[in-house]
Amino acid sequence: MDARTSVKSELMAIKQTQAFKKRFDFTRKIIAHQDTAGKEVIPLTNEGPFLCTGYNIKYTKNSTVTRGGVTTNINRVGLRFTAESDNSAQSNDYVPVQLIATPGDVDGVRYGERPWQHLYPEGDALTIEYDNRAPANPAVPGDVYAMANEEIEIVFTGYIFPGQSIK
Amino acid sequence: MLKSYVEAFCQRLTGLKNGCTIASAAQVRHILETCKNARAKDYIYKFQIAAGDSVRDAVTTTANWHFLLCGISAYFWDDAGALAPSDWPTVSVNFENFALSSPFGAAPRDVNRVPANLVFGREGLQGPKNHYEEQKNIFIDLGQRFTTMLEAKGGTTPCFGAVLLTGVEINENEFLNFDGGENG
Repeated sequence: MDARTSVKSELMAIKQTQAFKKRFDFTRKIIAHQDTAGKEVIPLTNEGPFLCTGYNIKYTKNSTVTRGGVTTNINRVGLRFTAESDNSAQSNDYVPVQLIATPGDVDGVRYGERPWQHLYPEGDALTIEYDNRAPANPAVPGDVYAMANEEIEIVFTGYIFPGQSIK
Repeated sequence: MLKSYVEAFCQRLTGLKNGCTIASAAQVRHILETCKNARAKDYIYKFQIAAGDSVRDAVTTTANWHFLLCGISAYFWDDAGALAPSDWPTVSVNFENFALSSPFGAAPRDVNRVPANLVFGREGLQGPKNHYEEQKNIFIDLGQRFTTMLEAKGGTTPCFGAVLLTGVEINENEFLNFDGGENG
């Protein structure tokens, strides 16, 4: 075996036995429209399966509630994720962003992520359902809600496995 | 000469290439196969509660998927202002039909009707938030199609609240094949 053949055979061996595992941040921003329960369908990467290992959420507080003449900014958006491939919602209902965002407030210092594992096959799409409606009945009678569009920015972190497939 | 260079080069390639970690093909297949059959899942119970009132509702987990409970958190908010901790509702998590055994060999635990002040170790309060910190050191197999009763008892101020059960769903077939990791 000459040197050139040896090089080819070494590289072929790598190609056949090694695979990439690439760190990947997947960022998307959606608008949760006022007084609306809607959804956004977001195509994921075509590079290979994406293993999400966590996410972080940032949100605005443009809506308000007024009680006794005092107005407070709030965010009442709830989110529900569903992968198109398995059509199984990742929560049984809308989860308030304030409960799953880290650390949970728009002006807070951002750190870490919420651990979350889901494997999306190549070409999969993520459906993000949102609910940005005022409560049907205020907790305290007389509360007046003024809902506004809210910006929800999500960073999904994880790994891509280029060239791989899920059987 | 060239051959030894190639060998050294290939050695480096197996660690990193273009900023990407290179795992063995078998390792990647193992990751993909495992993750295909295990996925994170949230079960949430949202409620609106009047002062001194009590509300309850059941949450049932997915059929054919085992649910491993890994964390519980609760959140209460009074939209017009932060609740004082003394106004926080009390939350109970009542595991009914608790799985009597699991492949992990875990003995059934007395987890019926867990009061919030026991479940949530620290009452974290930051800024305008009202919440119980997530209790993360939980690892309980609740089985498949398991019903959990979540209850809340109101404080002195009406409010909205939510209890979140976070965990991992494992495909039933994968779960039955699990050998505790001894041969995996």
